[in-house]
Amino acid sequence: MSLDPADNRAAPRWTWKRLVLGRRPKVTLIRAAAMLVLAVVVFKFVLIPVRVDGDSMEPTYRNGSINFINQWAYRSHPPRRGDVVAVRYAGKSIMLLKRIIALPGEEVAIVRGQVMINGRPLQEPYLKNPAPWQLPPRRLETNEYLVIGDNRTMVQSQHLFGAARADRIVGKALW
Amino acid sequence: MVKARLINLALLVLVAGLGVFLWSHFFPNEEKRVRKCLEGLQEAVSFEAGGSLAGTAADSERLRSLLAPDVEVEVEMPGGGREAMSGRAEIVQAAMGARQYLRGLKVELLDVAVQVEPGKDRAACSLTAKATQPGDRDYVVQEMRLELVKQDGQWRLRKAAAIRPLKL
Repeated sequence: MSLDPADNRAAPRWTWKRLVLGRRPKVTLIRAAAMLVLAVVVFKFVLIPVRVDGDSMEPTYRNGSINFINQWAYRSHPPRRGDVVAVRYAGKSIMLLKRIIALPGEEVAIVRGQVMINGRPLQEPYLKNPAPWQLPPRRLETNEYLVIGDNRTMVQSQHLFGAARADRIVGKALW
Repeated sequence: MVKARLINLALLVLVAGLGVFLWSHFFPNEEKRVRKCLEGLQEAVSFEAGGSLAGTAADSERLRSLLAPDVEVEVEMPGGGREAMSGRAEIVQAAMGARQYLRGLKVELLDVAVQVEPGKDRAACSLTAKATQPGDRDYVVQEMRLELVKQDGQWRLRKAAAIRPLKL
């Protein structure tokens, strides 16, 4: 066993500073700053993190689950039927998570729980035991989408749904 | 030499920033005054369970001072329907009366956008109001459009109406 103090000097000194900042602290800090800027830009302007609050989208989205809203989803094409979208109130602090079931200009109605688009029944495989909701026929404006939650077992009067203007649709749920 | 200049420049920027901050703090523009009024409204209608009578009286007086005499308020009621109230006395009475039935209320005004008219005596705001009762998982959310007027140098709420994000 050697007790030569020179050996101690040669051995690497794994201090906390070294562990956190690495061998080149300046490069590490620049990388960390770049990552921070990237995260802020991505999560503010592209993907908004959201927590689902409520049961109007069950069983597709459980209360308390986490998702992201892709704000760039509709840059190349307009929203499509079946897309799950976030609809804003005055801003993006609180949004409604709903599914698009009817597109601009279409006539939509609900007859005993069955959604009818231009008089034809809409196939909705994501639904479980829909209650007999009723909605008289109405034609959507050229900038309106009819959005509704997947939980149609709820009492209709307690479920917020209706026509959303295109400018209120913030983006599409990532999954 | 260059280092000294940079330090001087940094100090100058710092002093200028501090000056702007102090100026805007002591001489706020109309938008900031409107936002202050909205903060006051938010605080006056929020309350905690078991509050004192003196606290309720103070909130009542504060709310009264932030409302125009001819104020009109229209809100969506939970479960559907709209409720309209008008006049300062009726609204203050309704807000304070609600305290008898609720275990507390926290009102937050989110995403506030303010537009002051060129005459600087009227302003329009859009915002999302969120009301939560302590201990409750559920909350009530409403988008509101507000009109405020400047009377005797103070901004006051003139009109508030709920807006539906989805229309049927």
